[in-house]
Amino acid sequence: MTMHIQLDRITKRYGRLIANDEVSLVVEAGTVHAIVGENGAGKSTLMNTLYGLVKPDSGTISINDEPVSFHGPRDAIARGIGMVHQHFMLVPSLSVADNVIIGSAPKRRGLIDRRRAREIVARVSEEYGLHIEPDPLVRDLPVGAQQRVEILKALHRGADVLILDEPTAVLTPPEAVELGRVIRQLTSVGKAVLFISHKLKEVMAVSDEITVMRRGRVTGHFAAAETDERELARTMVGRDVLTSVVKDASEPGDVRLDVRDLEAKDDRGQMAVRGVTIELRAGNITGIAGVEGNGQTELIECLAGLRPAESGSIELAQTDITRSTPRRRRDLGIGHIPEDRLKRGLAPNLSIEDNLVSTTYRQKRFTRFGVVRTAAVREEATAMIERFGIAGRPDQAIAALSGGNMQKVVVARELGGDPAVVLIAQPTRGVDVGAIENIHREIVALRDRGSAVLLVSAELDEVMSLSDDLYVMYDGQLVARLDPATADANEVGMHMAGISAVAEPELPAGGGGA
Amino acid sequence: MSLSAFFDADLLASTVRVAAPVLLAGLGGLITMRAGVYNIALEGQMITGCFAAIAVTAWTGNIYLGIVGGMLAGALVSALLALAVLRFGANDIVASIAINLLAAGLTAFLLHAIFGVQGTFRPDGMVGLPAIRIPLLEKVPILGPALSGQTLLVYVAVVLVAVTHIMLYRTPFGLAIRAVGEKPDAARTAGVSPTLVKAVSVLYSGLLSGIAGAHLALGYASEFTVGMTAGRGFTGFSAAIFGQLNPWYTWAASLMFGLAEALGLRVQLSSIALPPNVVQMVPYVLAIVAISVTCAIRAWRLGAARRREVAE
Amino acid sequence: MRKTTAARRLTDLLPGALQGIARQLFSLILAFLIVAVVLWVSGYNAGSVFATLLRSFVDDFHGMLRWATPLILTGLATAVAFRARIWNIGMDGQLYIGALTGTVVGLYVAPHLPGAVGIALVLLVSALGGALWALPAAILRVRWGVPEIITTILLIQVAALLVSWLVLGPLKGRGALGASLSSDQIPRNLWLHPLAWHKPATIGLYVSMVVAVFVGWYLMRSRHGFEIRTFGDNRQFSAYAGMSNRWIFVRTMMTSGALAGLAGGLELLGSMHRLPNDFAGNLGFQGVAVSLVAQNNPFAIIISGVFFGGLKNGGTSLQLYTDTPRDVVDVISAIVILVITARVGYQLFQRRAPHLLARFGRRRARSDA
Repeated sequence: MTMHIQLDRITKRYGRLIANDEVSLVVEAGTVHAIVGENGAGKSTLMNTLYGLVKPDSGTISINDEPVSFHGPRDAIARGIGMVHQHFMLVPSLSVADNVIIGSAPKRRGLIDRRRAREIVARVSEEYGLHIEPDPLVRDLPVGAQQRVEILKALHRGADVLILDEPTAVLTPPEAVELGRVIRQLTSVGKAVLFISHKLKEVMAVSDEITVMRRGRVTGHFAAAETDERELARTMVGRDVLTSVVKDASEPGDVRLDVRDLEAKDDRGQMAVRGVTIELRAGNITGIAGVEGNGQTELIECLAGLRPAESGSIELAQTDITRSTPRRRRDLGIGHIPEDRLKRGLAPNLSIEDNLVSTTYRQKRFTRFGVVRTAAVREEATAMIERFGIAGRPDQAIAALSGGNMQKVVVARELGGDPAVVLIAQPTRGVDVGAIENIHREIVALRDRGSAVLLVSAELDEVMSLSDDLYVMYDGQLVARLDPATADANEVGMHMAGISAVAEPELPAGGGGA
Repeated sequence: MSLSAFFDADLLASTVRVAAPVLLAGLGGLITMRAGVYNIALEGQMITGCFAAIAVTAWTGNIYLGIVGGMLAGALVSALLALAVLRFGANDIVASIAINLLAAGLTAFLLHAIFGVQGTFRPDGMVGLPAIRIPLLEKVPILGPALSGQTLLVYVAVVLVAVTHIMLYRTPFGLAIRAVGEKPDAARTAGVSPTLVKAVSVLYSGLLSGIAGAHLALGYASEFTVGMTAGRGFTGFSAAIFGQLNPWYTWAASLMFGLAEALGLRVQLSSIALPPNVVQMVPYVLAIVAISVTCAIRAWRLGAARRREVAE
Repeated sequence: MRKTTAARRLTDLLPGALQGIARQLFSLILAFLIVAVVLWVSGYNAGSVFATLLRSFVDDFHGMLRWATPLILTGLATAVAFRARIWNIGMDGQLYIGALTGTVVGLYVAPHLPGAVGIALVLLVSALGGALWALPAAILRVRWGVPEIITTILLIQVAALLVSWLVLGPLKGRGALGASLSSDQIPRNLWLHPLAWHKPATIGLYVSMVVAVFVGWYLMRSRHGFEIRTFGDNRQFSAYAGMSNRWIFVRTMMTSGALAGLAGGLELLGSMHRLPNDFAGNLGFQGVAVSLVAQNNPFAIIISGVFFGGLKNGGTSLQLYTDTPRDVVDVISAIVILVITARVGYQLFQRRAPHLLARFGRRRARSDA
């Protein structure tokens, strides 16, 4: 039962984007190997390659020194690889046993042998201490138990290597502790676990080996016993986007956006923003650093009006907008550059000009008596295209543009009108390295014109060099406020890793499971 | 006329009879919708079944071969739908609409092309399906006369409720259907092909709608008339929705639609001042209410944020 | 680099529109080829069938325009909804109700008004009736997420039964002429003027065409049209940009219903002059074909509406001159829809293919290769 998996110089490109750049990795039986990195670092692509969902452009996978080639998950499953996706592949309205046996049901006289299905669940659950009952419906189970059903499913299919994709992202702290226990039980019987995460504390607690990825490459490889969270955080966020943003000291003006004790839930109904209080001032860039998934997305969406506030208040220049619609907020001068610009920020089959005026089309200069004034729209669009250097004609469809130009359209629309407050999420995500500096300069210029900027970024360098005022968000709360000029990256990294946070149940250390 | 005279065994008997085609179409519809395909081509599958049943009976003189012909024709039409949707990626709703138009046109066309008549065709010496009397059941008061003496396909429909139930809840394939319809990715990662599952489901609905057509053509009219399904396929769709895509509830729903139709006929012949069409409307309105309540409960569970977006 | 893209744009621009037309024509030809095979197999002379059809387009020009009148409108109803990716397929129901409300006003209110005002009122009320019939489906959708496909289908049946009830009951006609199966005739001064003496097509055609041009303009130039297009392209985006998705949905659905209702009103005033028990004859579903061929473009819908009107009408000539059942034309429409929707789907399919290949593994890759 000694399994040994080797990934050798795996490379995968999507168009111009290199998702994996010569990534190599070795996984040994009976160990937990963690892969850490920010979203978009290429972890998921790598795991999907191993699971047969993605075919690499080059590089090889070998199991026990024998090269293999997977054409689909079935092949991977047959070679003993199991995967627990971040979004569970479970059918909510079916029972646990039914979910486990989909596609490989035990039969008796043509019908499903439910008794044997139950026995399978009971046996596997017993063997690995998963505490799963076969009969409840999956949708009635807490998230942690659903995850164990997924693990059970993989084990039932004979997995010797278990890939866990962001397993703790959806778990409550006690559930995470339970998962840690299960993982140790698995390794103690010789299973290998690949653990993908960006939560450093957990990674430290459960792994034996840690590989750090960043922008498609492996940037570090450590034995868990010989490293610490600070070092991991530094390797993870890297130092290679050193941009030389020249900016003067800010001259903070009056408070534009006043947020008090804001709480908001995520899509699953869990509280994701837990009592955030923050002031955005005119002519000032307020940065929020933090590992993704700590409530930043929800905070921004809540401020933009796309997510209801559970409690707390938001005031824009003395006007309460806590319950206002997105349109009202935009009318009052809030701009918003969303995290997923191509999905949320654009209508791909409409023209550039339509996209550019889609937030302002109600103004008198663009519509009169319910009729769009095309000449005015065209004029505005032409001016914006010129000003922001968008390579395209006003009537050209967005889908025909390059990714960079699509980004520019969003930026032009949101920043063109010099909004009073701008919410910017991950401004350089998916942007060519060459264009990053430009975007940074634009943000500073915006500040200098008097806007209040809220900048959320997972790129530590980015927030540190751009912000006039720096917060760190962890677990839905702003856990630290720092002066970006004097703060040290290690210190910020520590806050990001939640070390300064209020004490919470820790994952028991499980380094030497083998 | 007193109320007790109104709800007599005759009414029950005709309720059961007119419910049968609706039930058959509904059972097929619920399986396809469980697999995640909006199949509103039940109407077209059914009319094709009507035509083929009569045509085959006319050719062979054997009414049971006619039933088989109806089934196969229904399946053939559904295979066309499956081909368009699953192989060529056509939109299921638009393709279904096309199938309905096609079946309506093609049956009328073929009626002329093959039998040289228009409107209605009644083969010479045509005898409809015989009534089957069940001796023991007959003795049960009220229910007995209603349930006994129906034609073969009515009993087949009832048996198919159980068959559909067993298939959906007790067989590996049914498990695959439910997984594919609710979460295709879960099925796919478990090695189940959603395309295959959907294709088989659509074919099943074609078979059942074909039987429904055969019942309409051979069970009580013994003839083919252009457009004779008169929306029963859509009623079957409604019954499946009303029945929450569950075979037994769908049976109950189609009995309700059947009762409304039978009552409507009865009211028409009586002196009661209740308009028959209003009676027939009731189940449709109830179906809308039923699905709305189901959706409202789900929406309430998910919370407010997504609803405002009216996600596709 | 700028230069090359500019040059490509120039070459892309005009052929792009032509390519679209060519693709639709190709689909039509393919559909007709399939029908030819069906005819040939059934022992008919496909050549003479198509020739007769074509001749009827010319010979019975007015018959073609008579059917084009409602088909253009139901096509527009489809186009407006489909542009917003809203599945209103209950056009037949909205058409019924439009004719019904029009009849009520035509019988009881409009006779007391001057002719032109009366006609305008009847048509307006028809449109309103159709819009109101589309409203419940819209409200249920935005409030609780009830799929509009299901509700609009169910409401067709309810509308048909409602019309039957009223026609056979409270609105039952008194005259001798088929009185038991329809309402009273509406007064003659409300009838739409025929385009030529004793011809079936009426000035209702002008109404349809003007509405088509208006809808085209409305989608391209009005604020609501802009919202429909944005919503239809990316609902997440329209919400983010500050549009009210719920309100857009409701308004679009009502607009679509109003167009179908207007078709009912024109059928009433132009052709039927009374409300019969059962009359829609799939005008709503055929509107889907009209809109599909026109790629949901209101201007092109005028042309494809006339074409399908000609088909629908040509069935009669077919029966008269070639002894081919008129129902062939339904077969043609159906196959046109199938071919086009399958072609569009297949293109999407292929565009997505690289992803599909990567994700779903070997089986599909082989069958596609």
